[in-house]
Amino acid sequence: MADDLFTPTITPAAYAEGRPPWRPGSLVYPAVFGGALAATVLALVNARRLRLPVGAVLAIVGTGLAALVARLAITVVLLDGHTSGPARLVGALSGVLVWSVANLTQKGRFRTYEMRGGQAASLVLPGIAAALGLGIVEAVLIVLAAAVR
Amino acid sequence: MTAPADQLARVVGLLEMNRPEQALEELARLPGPVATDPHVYRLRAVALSTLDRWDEVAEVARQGLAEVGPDAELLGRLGLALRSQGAFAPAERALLDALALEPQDPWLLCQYADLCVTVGQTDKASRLLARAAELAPEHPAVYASRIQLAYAGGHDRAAERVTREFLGRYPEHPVALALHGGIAVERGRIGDAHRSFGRAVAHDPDDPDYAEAAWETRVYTHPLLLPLRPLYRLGIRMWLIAVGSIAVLNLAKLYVPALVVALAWLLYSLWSWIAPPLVRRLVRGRWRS
Repeated sequence: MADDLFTPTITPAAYAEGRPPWRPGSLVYPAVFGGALAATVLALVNARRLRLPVGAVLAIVGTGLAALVARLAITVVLLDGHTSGPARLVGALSGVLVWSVANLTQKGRFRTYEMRGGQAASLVLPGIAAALGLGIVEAVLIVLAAAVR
Repeated sequence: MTAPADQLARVVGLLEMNRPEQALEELARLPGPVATDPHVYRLRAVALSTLDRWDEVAEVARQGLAEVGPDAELLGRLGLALRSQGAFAPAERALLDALALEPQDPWLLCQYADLCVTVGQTDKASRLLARAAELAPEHPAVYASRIQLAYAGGHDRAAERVTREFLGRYPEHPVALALHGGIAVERGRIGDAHRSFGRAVAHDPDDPDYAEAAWETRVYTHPLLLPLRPLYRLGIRMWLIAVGSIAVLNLAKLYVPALVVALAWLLYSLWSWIAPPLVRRLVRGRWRS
């Protein structure tokens, strides 16, 4: 058959499932409570589970780095290195920024994963761990940046 | 050999009325030699597909193919069954064999497009679907595949628009109702979704997926989850409203109201995180018994 539409293109490797991904929409919670670093790390782990193309992974890394640098700069320069009050808001906003890119790049892949009968993994424990652990790391970075300044 | 026409006509009628169990009973009453008629294999495969009994669909399709030779309908059903079993490459093989026999069949083109969507090959799915739409733009399978393709691409508005077109053309079609329910869930319209899935179940009570979806949307109508409706409806906009309000209050030096809003938002967010699995667990035994 000459028609290229009727040429087989599906190989078992194309859909072999590894660890189940998290629902991209749910990443918003650790993103808001943990900040840009937590959002970036979780989004990258999820990108790997969803086998996202390199371009999408780079978009997440780029946004994550930009959000983290912006968060540090705003907190250190405009808010004198304070990590409470408005600084928490800046942290939440930077997390939401990373999440929005992650959600945009991962939503389609996750939906096709669901169409294959896949179930989302629970984000409760990894989400809490990332929000607390990486939130603390982010706070330490702010303190260090403020000290350097 | 031909099967008795009146018995087969009855089976077709039962399938059109969405009574696959009765259609199978009728088919089982056919005399032995007639049961190997190609049309009988096709009808049996269709009835079993309607019941989502995919192992049996695959078995009947293979038996039929061994008995009657290459047949587009049976190969298509085999492809559908293999896809449902997660065997995507063999499913593609079966669908391509079917399309080699019937390259202009819109249903087969849509099945192949759906398979491509499932494995993330959306460009190819789009081209297959364009071809199917040229042949039969108002075929239910074409509407369903257009919705799936739009949904998989994250184009929720387009998916919703096509769902409305589908429902407008086939107001009582269970697939149209179920897809409408699915899109309504994505758009945060829980009540709407629950009604659609309920109607889909009423029209096709044998489909376990519709029943599961109807149950799941019923969970979200639980009073404990009612406060979360605005969040589901507005999504990220709700987050921006909350964070924006806290920012504005802080800038206006209204620290106490800002703290109250922040705490309320924190509790609300936590509730939206833990309440759905909690309620699901709470009602599982009660509503399913």
